[in-house]
Amino acid sequence: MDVREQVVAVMRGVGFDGDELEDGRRLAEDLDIDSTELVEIVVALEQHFGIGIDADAEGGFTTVGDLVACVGRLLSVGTGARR
Amino acid sequence: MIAEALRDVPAAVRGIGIDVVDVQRLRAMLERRGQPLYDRLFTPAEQALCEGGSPRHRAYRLAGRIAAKEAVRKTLGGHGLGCGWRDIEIGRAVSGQPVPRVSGRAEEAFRRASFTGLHLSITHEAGLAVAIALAV
Repeated sequence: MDVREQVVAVMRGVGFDGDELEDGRRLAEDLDIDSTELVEIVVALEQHFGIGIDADAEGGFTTVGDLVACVGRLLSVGTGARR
Repeated sequence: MIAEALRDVPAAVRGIGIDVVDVQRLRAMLERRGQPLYDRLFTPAEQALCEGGSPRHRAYRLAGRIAAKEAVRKTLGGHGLGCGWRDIEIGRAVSGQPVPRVSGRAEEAFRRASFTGLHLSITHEAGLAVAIALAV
């Protein structure tokens, strides 16, 4: 599975419908993901990929694609910037 | 004369925020993700304040703090964009009253919004935690 597929799998594991999780979908407006759900997704991604997503980055996640890009970026540098 | 008259006028409300949290939903999230999720959402002081009692009561206290943080963040409106969960800490006065403390990005937003104080109230009932915050 590539990074995008894994991010979608993690989000499905948290309880979201995989069919809706296209890159351009907006987390709040389109998918109705609230702030506590978003932080659970972030922690789930950290645990799945073994990365650290900076708390500052959380507020910048608007779409599913933003999450995929962030994970991809952190994996490409080998390690995430820990909080 | 004007200053004397103004002394008795309540401070103007500059911002208002309200939030509701489903206690069981938050509890399930925390159980699924464990300490990393606690550490993202709560400061060490908040975690210490919520310790003790039954798991149910602990979940209510934690949910009340989440609702309170969101309510405070909402008082900041657009100024509050980017505020992290731990930038707003919900302490407790000796009387039991919740006491919000802002730091980091929330403190900067608080200054940009020209707020001078925050008032906060939390309640729990029927599986929900509700908080309302007023900024002056």
